[in-house]
Amino acid sequence: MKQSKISASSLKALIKLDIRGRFGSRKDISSKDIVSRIFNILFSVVIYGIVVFGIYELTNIFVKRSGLGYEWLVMVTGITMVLATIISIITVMKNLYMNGDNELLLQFPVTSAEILVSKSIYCFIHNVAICYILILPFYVSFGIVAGSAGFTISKGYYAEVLVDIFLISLIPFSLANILAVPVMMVVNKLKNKHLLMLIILIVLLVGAFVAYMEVIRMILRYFQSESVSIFSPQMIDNYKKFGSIAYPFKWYANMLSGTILAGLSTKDIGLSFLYVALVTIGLLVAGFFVTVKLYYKTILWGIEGTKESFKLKTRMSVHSQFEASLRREFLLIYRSFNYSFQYLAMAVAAPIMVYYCNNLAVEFGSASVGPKIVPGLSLLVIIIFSTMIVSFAATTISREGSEFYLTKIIPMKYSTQVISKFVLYSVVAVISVTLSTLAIGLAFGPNAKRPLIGLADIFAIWGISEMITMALTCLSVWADVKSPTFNVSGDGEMVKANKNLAIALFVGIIVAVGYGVFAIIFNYIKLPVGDIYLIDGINDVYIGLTIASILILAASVCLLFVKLDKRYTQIVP
Amino acid sequence: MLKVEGLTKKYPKSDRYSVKDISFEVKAGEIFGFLGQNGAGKSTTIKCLTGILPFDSGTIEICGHDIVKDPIGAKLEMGYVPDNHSVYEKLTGREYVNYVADIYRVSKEKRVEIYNQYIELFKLQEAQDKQIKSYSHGMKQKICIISTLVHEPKLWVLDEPMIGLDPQAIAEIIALMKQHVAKGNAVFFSSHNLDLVKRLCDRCAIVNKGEMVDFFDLKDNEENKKNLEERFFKITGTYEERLFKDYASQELADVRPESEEAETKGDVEENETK
Repeated sequence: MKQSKISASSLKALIKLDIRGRFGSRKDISSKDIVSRIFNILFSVVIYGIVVFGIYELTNIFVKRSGLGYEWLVMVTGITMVLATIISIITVMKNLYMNGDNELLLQFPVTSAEILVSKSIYCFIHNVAICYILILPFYVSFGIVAGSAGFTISKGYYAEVLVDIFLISLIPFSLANILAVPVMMVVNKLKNKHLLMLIILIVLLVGAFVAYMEVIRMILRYFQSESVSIFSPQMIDNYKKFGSIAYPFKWYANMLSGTILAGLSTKDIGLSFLYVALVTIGLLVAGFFVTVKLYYKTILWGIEGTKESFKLKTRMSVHSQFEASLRREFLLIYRSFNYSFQYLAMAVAAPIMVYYCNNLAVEFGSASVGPKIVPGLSLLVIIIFSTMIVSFAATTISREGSEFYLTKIIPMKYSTQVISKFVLYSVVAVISVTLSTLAIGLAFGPNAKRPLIGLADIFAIWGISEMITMALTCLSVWADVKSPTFNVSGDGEMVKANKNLAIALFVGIIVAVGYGVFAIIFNYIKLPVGDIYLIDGINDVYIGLTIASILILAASVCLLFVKLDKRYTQIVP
Repeated sequence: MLKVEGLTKKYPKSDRYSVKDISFEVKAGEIFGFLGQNGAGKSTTIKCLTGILPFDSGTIEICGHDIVKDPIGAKLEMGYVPDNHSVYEKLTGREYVNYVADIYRVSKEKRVEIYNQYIELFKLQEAQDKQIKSYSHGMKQKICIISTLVHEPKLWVLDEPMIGLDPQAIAEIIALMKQHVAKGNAVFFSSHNLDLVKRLCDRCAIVNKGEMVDFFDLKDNEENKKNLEERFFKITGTYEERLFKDYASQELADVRPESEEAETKGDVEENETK
């Protein structure tokens, strides 16, 4: 097979096949699917709208109020380029190297060059779209804000924005093509070292979250006092210093605003364009050669790598049915990169994330409305994070995939099998919630530097959160027993998250917000019923939430376990 | 060992019965072949009797345990090898068999003895501590077979067990089936390989379009053995003289007896000498 030959008809057929595989046939769309797609689009538009509004407000702060327009452009270009590069690397890795269809496509009468080009076209379009989605709100907001601040922003600026973003998009794409190969090598090397992989995932997850929280903290502090933190004279100096040396990001900012803000000559702007062109061409050429040279080898290596295994000599020791079932469920999660990240890394990282998130919320919440906000906020944050952990249980049946039949043929009651799953998920979540509450207790409890809650509060928050966590676990498992989707890829892992996961997350967030808001409001105000107060103080709030949690837990347990064996029998693989 | 009476199954969104009023019995000490074209209802029947699929009417008894009323009792007496030999691929071969042994409550001594015996028989010593995902098609099938025998089931159910196996493994499985029934157990298996069924089974049944259309002895019945292919082709409505003759002559060539082979070989040698 000639690896370099490219025929237009093969390319067209491969792209068509790729689109069909990705989006399905248009003929098969039911009215239910159309409604769900419209809902998804509307939901995405609303979320994007909120983000764009936030970006506009930030631009206002930097450009109008602080006079850091140029530095702002350099910073956002840098941040969005890094983000786009990470997204692009993931896209390239998933589509070019990790996609299970490589083995199948190589059997067709097409060359590896045709497979590469057809997949690269998708990656490129995806990358361009991501760059526009990420960067456009910043640049457009900048134009609007700078215009309203008295700078001359012509219509040509917006045309320039479109060109600038297209040029920017070439960098992440080229870098992704260069970096995807070594990243794939590392992933392939580590994929059978499960504990190491889990630790790395936890460190990355916690690191990224803490950095994110710190940025939010800095921004919020700015709102409280402009004289300190991110806009102190020292920080402004730092921004200016950064803006002057942040290559290559400043070249893009020069091209866009050189004459408006930085007072650059046409020659300087032309030079910036030249540098951008040189760097882009250089990276594109490097990306091209790396990919062409290593693509075929890497996918073959990947195909061969799927068969790689560790060697682990175990003893033939005897376990009870329940124990064996529990152990099997855990090992299948632990030995999967995706599942470890979704579940175990999240469960371990949650207490740290809860601590940071709660700390931030309390810092600003208690400053604006007082320390009585702490119990409600703590409940809100803990339940949201426990929802993220237990929602994984909403795929517990679906994840059985083609091995689901084994759960039907073994001499073990379906309900016992489900209980073993429930125990695994709830025990991990219960431990995680306990550690989260402990973190909150250490931060705001009686022995903390700034004690805001008592021991009784800590116990009440813990008890209520645990009951809700178990109820959510029950509901998650129930949703998957009711409607599993055995949608697994070649290596036996789920192709994508199913709808049950979304349902579990939605219900958990509703409960978290409901509990949090209820606790916050009724810690400040009383609820009169006739002559008496039904809720008078935080203790009454706890009693109310405890009763509600017991009822929700009881209802969830009934929902999951009543006639479970009968419902499980009806599941057809 | 296995008693199926009036088994009827219709899939929820289907307008026809996948299996309709099927009845048969498999006795201790016999190998029972289950034949039919693709989509005839063989796998559906097997999935019903192993407890994978619920069914609309009829009864299934395994060693006297009703699969609906006493599913645990019935499943404890049965070992099932599916056609796709799906197993938990992230476990090692040893972990998987040990997991199954735990589920079937097999004692430590027994599981170690059986496991070692089969691992050696199937030559999986090298692979046993590696994840099953690294195994070849045949190795997966072998580990699947070991896991179904670790609890010494009385009824061994196999759905197309020989697909993708090397001749050595096929011979081993045939020997295992024979050994299994020699101990007073029963084997129930579906196959498209008529020759194998003819050579191996004591009795067989043919299903067509979800209905049981023929049921006959093969053991010590040369007439039935001889006519099996023709009977199958005619019953399933696929008989075409030209195709049948091709099939039969091909099969004869494949299963030519040793004496005949020796005769031919002798003729050739004689000719060469001349």
